[in-house]
Amino acid sequence: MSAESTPPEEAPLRRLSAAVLLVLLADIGLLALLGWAAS
Amino acid sequence: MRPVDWAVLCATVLAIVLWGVWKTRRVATADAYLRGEGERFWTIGLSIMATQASAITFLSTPGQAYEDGLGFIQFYFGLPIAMVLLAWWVVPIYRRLRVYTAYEYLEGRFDRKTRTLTALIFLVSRGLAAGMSLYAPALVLTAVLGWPLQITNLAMGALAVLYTVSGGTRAVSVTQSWQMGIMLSGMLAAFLFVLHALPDGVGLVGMVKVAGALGKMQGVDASLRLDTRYTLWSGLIGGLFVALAYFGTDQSQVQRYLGGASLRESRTGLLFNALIKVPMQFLVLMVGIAVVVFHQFERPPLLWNGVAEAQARRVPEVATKLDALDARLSRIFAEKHAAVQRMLGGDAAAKTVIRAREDDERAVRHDARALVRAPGQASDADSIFLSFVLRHFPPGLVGLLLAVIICAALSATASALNALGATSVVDFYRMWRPDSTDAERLRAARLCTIGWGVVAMSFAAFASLLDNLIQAVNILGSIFYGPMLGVFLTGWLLPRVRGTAAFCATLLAQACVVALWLGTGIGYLWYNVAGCALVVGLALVLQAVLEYWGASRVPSSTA
Repeated sequence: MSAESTPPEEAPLRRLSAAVLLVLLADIGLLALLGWAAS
Repeated sequence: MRPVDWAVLCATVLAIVLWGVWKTRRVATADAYLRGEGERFWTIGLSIMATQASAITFLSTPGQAYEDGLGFIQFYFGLPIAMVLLAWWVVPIYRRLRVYTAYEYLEGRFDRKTRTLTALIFLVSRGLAAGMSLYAPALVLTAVLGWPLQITNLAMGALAVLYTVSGGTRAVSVTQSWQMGIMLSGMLAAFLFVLHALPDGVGLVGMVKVAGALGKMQGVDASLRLDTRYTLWSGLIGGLFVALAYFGTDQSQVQRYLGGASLRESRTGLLFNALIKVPMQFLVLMVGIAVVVFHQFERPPLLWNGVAEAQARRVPEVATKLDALDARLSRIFAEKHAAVQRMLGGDAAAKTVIRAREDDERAVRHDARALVRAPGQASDADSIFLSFVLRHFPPGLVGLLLAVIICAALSATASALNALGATSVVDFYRMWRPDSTDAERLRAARLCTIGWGVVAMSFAAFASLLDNLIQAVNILGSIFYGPMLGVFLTGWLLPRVRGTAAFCATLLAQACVVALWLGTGIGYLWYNVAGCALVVGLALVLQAVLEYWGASRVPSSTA
């Protein structure tokens, strides 16, 4: 196994992954809200 | 089309193609051709998006929103979750093993027959899909603009082959960044133009109100119905499996992120795609929503595919029936238009009338489409957006929107040809000639790319004669993805399972998914879940049986 598989700078990637999932939740929430408000 | 539109279209498309050829003119080794040369995360992210966004995405998605509203967006809800899983879990495996193709991993993990089977499934399904990525937009361009079908197919195919053969993976990635930029800016310009074209005082808020009254703004359906194609759950669960299969095991996508400058760039590229994908699809769908709202103030045509309508009208009896339907549509439009005006004036009760007249309009359109339907023609819904662009957009913007469609066709075709060429060389040619030199492999990769280009263009040329085959190709894609993901998941997650069990489980699961498709009416997103679960389950059972009989003696995992 090379050093590349355990990079030392994983914290930014962890934050970015969390941001991706939060943005998805926000997207779904906003779409549901938009559908409710428009109906 | 006016000269300025031709100028914008040709300048945009040719500039990107020539830039791609020039930028990658020094690609001289098989490694650089197959793997690329260290892309940054934004190039990888844009390239992944451009690979997924075929021309039909931009042609038919606004049409889909026009007809059914925002519901299709739920298909993409599983994608960001899949991107996170792949970035943390799968990309490190591929990069650690320094593989060129996803299928190469399976030989180390299982055996050669499993690798060959999956590579073969990929070649067949992606080879046909590459033909479709040329044929589908050419069909709509023919229907709406009257361009000759075969010349459109050949011109788009030849351009894609030109830069893919010249610069390989890097040429595909660098051109896709620009192509994606054109696609996004074109769709944003289209949305802003239609919004601006709405009557004074309607604006963004009025547009959302009218679309809501028409029942088009429901982007989230939390019902548990299995026969509804797009729901929150089919999107999150089925969509997750589709995205895992597509981005984790389809070489046309795997090749995009394996070309990253480092593991970090590859992972960030995937996550960059995850952040942008849902908003991008929302924008494309909102273009369709804006068009449907526009047509509450200006009467829409009965049929959008003018060529199909003109052909059908040659029969006097059909022409009479179409005229009657057209008159009925005029009456429905007048009533609906009046109700929309009342609703915007504050009369909430008018919404019931709007919804009822919308249902009537749908029925009229359904009857009209049944009258003109003929094999080998673009569907009326797929023609909505382009037909609208040509009727209402100003000079220059028409050229830009056509550039969006051609760029999308080129980007999807080029990444498919690139991946088909790479798989042919890495998973077949290298096994056939293990002692071949780098120069021979580079030449073989270029020849294979040309060969697959010829296959794609030939399929596109004959596709109009084989209407049922086109539907089969579309369905086959979703039938193969589940078992394909299953065999990779087994490799990633179940170190105990070995080659023979995985191979037999894949074949059995594939047969079961075909039976499911033929024998049940469940939404196709669930095929992916079923196919994947069957491979994993069957592989575990078969491994236990083989161990019991003492028949499994294959070397263990490399993952």
